[in-house]
Amino acid sequence: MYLIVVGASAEGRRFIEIALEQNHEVALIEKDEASAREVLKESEIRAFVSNISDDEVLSEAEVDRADAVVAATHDDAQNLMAMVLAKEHKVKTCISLINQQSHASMFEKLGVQVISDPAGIVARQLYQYIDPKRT
Amino acid sequence: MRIKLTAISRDVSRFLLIPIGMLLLSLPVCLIAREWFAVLPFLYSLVIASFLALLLYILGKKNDEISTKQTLLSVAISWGIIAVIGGLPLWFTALALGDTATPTVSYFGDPLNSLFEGFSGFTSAGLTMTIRESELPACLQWWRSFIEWIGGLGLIVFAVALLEPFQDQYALYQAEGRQTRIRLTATRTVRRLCTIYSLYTVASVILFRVAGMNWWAALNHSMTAIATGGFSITDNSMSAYSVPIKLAVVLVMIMGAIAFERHDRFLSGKLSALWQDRQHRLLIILIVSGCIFTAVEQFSDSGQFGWVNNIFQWTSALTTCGFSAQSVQFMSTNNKLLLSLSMVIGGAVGSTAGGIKLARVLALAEGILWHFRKPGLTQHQTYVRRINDKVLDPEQASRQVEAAAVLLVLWLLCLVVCILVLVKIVPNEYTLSDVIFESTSALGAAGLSSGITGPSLHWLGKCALMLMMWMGRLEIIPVVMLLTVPFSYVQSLFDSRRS
Repeated sequence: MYLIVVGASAEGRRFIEIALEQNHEVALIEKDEASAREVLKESEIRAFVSNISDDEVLSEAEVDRADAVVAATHDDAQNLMAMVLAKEHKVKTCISLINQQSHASMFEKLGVQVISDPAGIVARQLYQYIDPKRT
Repeated sequence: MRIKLTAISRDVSRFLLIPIGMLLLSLPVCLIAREWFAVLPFLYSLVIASFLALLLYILGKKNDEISTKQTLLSVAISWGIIAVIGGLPLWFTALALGDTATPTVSYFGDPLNSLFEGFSGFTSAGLTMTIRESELPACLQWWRSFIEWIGGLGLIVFAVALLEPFQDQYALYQAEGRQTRIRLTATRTVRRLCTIYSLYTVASVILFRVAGMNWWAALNHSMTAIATGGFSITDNSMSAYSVPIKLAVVLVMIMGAIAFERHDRFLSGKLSALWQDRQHRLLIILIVSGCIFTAVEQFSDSGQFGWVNNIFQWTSALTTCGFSAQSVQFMSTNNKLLLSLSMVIGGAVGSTAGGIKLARVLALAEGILWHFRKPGLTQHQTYVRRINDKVLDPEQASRQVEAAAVLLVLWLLCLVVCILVLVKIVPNEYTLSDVIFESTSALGAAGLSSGITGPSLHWLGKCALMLMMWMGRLEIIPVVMLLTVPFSYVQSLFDSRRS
């Protein structure tokens, strides 16, 4: 599969590693050149430095043949923009991180799959070790 | 940046401790070999070297602000002066023996021949003015091997102590203001590399002895093999030796062309260290493919395979060692040119080998590939470049490729000049391919000879080859800096008058 990852956050990087292990083709869009290069140093993928709001960059990354777009920045506005654009290009699978839970409804209206509040998920998991009764 | 002559003078005086120590160590050899006639020549050389060192020390002044350029100048000057001192014992011995000297020794009565031998030794090149090595007195055989051994060691120290601290060693020539100082014995790495170097030498002495050399030959040849020098104590180099010995020499030559920092890792248990990085993989590929190429070429030329000699000649050229197992003069033109090419390439950075070195070849190859890849990139795409297992930012990579390209251009320029000079003065029996071969051999500090180098060579040719060896060993730039100092000095005088 061909996967486009938006944002070289910790989650985004980890996702790229896993996707490469499964032999998928990956492209990265990241607005900070230095962090994009950091990723390039570890994995041989294509990387584009640009704000997602620049529509050209998705075309450059050949979004039309992408099987999925994964938005993984820590800025929900960016993620939302990525999702809107991906939907416009009729990408089959659109997945996004949501950093603030109250934003979830906007994403759901778009009809994309979300992982909301990643920090919350980790925190709850941590708490579970202390108090297994509460989920 | 103004160059302080006093600081350079002090630096050089410290470098001169090296030949002084060497001469002291060589005196016992004269005594053990009972060559009384050589004692005084060695003593004279010792006195002259010590006097010079003392003089430079007194003239010099300690200076804490030392720029990289200044250090490079000191190294270039020192290497030159040490080479001159290296020639002294040969010259004095020839003079001391006078009419009783064998023809081989009496040629060293000409100071230029002795000087040539000194330069060839300390650059661990191996081109020689000796006609019959076996006729040399033992102490001179020892001296020639010893200067090559130290020359090879000096090169590793030069690479590790001066170039390595910058990691990005190519930045060296760009950052004028930065400070470096060579700590000859201070750093642990340097000391460790010296130990490894000595260890390998001892190991190869034993290897050669087991393979069938006598002790004296094993000692001398192991010193010149690990230094990828190429002086021998037998007439016609290695031609007379049996196959096992030749193969043992091949092994040691390859060891000498591997970066010693790799040997360090290898000895501390990481066995794969010797072929793990690209530089050394390239070395292996070049050795194997080159042997096959030259063998096929020889077969098509003469109709017979000489595997062992082919392998020997090719490795000797690529590692810029310079032992020879067969006469170069009778090789086919193609093989001469192939060997010349390998002498331009040379061994790994951080080894005792010469040439432009494999890391530069890799950088250049990446640069070429890069220029084909670049048009395929889109507007926003970012990238990193990989040179010799290091991931680099594009700017860094460009700098490395640029440095390698500059070195290659300078290298070829020097070659062209040397070839033009030699073509003019060698006898007609030598073809252009011989001249090319000899020039690349000198510049790459290899020391294989097509027969041009010898006492009968025109003095201009000797000087040209000497200059090539000196430049090639220090990778040209320090020597060019040194040679242009007078010009820039004069220019600065004019500038200051105008302002």
